[in-house]
Amino acid sequence: MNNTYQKNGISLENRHTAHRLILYISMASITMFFAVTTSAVLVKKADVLNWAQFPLPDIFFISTIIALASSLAFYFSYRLYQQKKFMAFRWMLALSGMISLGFLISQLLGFEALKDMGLPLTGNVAGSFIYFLAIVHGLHIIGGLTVLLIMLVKAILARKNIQFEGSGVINKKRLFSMEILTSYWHFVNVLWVYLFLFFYFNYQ
Amino acid sequence: MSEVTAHHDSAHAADGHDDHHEQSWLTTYIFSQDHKMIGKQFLMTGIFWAFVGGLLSLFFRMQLAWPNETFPILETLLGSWAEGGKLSNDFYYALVTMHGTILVFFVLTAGLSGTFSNFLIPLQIGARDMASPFMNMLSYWFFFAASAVLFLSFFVQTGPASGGWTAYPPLNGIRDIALNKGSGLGFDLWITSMTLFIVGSTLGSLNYVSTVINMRTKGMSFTKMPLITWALTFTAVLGILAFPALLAAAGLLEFDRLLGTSFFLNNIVINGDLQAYKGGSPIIYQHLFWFLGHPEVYIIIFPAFGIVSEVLSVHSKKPVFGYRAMILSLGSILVIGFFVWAHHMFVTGMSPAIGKVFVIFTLLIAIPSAVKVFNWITTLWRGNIRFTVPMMFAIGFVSLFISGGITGLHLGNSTVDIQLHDSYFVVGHFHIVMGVAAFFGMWAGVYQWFPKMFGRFMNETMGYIHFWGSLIGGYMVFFPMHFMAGVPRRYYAFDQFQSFNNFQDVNVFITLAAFLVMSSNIVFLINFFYSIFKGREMTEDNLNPWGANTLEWTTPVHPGHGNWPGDLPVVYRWPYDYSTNGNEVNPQNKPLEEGEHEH
Repeated sequence: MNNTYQKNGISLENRHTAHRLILYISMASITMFFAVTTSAVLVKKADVLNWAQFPLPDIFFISTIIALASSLAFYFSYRLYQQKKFMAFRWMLALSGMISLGFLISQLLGFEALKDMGLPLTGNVAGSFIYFLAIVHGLHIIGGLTVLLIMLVKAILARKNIQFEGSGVINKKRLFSMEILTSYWHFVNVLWVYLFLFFYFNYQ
Repeated sequence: MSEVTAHHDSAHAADGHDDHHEQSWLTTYIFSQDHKMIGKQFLMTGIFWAFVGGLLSLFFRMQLAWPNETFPILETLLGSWAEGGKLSNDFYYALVTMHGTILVFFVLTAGLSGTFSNFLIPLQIGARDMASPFMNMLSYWFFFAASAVLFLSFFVQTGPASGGWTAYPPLNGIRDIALNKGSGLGFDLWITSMTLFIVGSTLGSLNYVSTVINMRTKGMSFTKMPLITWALTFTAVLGILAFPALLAAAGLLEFDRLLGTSFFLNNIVINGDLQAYKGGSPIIYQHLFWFLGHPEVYIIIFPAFGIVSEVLSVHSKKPVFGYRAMILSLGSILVIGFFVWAHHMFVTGMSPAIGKVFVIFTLLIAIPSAVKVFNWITTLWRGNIRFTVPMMFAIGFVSLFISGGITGLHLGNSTVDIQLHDSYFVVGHFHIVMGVAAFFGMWAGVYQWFPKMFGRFMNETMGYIHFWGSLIGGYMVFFPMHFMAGVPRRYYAFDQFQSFNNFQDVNVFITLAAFLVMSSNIVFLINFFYSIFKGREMTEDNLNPWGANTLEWTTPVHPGHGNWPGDLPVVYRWPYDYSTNGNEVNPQNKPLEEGEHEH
């Protein structure tokens, strides 16, 4: 075990196992948030007098495709770092961020489309729930993008670090951060797919 | 004190204690990443809030006892909220709301599980620190920020939130101070504070669970973990799964208030004008709120369960009766606790069939709860009992838990609950079972681990005064409320209602008892802060003053960041090996003797 990785007498592997579990449990917590809120939608939907049925705007289909594309881009970023293709890794990481930004823009367009259909935020509760859930989901993406930006800057600054990337050596900490970020991204994208299917089957 | 057996499986384990960099005052006491200091930060903040929350209750108890009297001191302390020395009705509701919020979330959640999870988990499982010390520090600072925001809300012009600690819409769903002063900025700050609190609590809980699963020392299998660590872990799991519901409720409510959505509002008429809100349901808010709200009761009481199990065993020098049954009952309460939330909502007009399901699940919880009570009593049975201060509080807890738990059976039954809903019977029930009882668990823990926290002892005589004042005073405050079963809670004054006014003398009695409880807690405060600096010192040759088996007592008087100098201790036995092999105390790190079998 390289001493560089020791902290408070705890090995890097142990810390990573513990941090990985923290991520998984936090996913359970986030899942609970969306599970209870979508349950509230179903309860509200039972009140047919106050519930609007409408087709989901097409742009949300495109959002879903963009989400899946961003997951793929993150997977490739992680793989490229593992394969020590550091330059390509940095570009792919930047691309992953751009695609995710595209996802957020598509969500805003989705809100516009809803508005055009006569469903502004303050309109029928059925539509309001879409705004609420998409906004909270979007906040998770924005949180992830902030971490991505920090990681990208760190990766660029470390490109000539002779201890790691500059000498063609993988920095295990960065690899682990990438693993965590990629897992998180897959998770939020799966979450969007769930929301999309939920809206699709409950709103039309 | 037995010899400390070392854990040699990591070549670098020793570094843990020695490799930390020189810490500045700021990183030692303020932005510390040491779990022990963070635990103490939670405790200090919790004590501050307990004092504030208690003081607020005295103010509104004075109003209930003497509704037509004036108290100039109130005007001095509260200014325009008590003009002429009499509480305004607006501020009365703010006091009740803030008292509930502060006590439930800031004292009995953060102050209790925040303190003991941080302080004890790594020490009891033989870890250097939490899985993520940085996240741990963040969890405290989110709690601090939540505290600061809520405290600030007392100083906004329209006052703090005043629509009840449950923040039900429609009252709290409309941002109109003409309707309710507390629904203005004060309530926005309340929601902000709750959001920060939930983030902090979740960061902490994630850490606790991961630490327990991943960071246990060699030999510390799950069935060798002390019951308090089990209880704190289950508390964290509850928080992780239940708090998101409150976050969702708060988010949707704030959308209604600030952005004009109608999630919880429908056909609202104000001064004859129909408002634009349409199609929402306030009942959905109640479902979301109580999906957290009921597990929150267990988030509050589980740490007390753990502390009491530990203290009863240590001070009676007997193994905990039914160790595995204790864990199983905690687990059962955790699971069933997620299926009982609607027993808070029997009067919402729900279908009686659905009500029955919630009645059955609610009454089911009595079984694991009774198992725990039985096991505590049988742990004491024929034990070599030392009536130390922590032991007194632990025994007091058992008494209170039984007294308050029994009335839970009445309220869990919808046919009875519908009659008693929102009455003082409910106030008496929950204050005994999750208020005073949880406080007794907390105090038992503070007296028990104070020497470990500060390297000094608290004064025993003052501890006994604190105990008897709180026990007698606590019962005097909340027991009479059971006789006020027909009197509605949250009323500003009863003098306009003849039937309720018959209880005026009882209200005076309760208020006087509340002053007794506060007085005994001032004794505690003096004892606590005096003892930190001037209490009898713990010495290196008496590191285990209570004669406990658990690992925290194997550290030096003032353990550094990393807890153990040198290697981590190795665990050979379960934590309740008391009075075996001719020894009263057999620490967990003491190797098994020849021919001795593991428990």
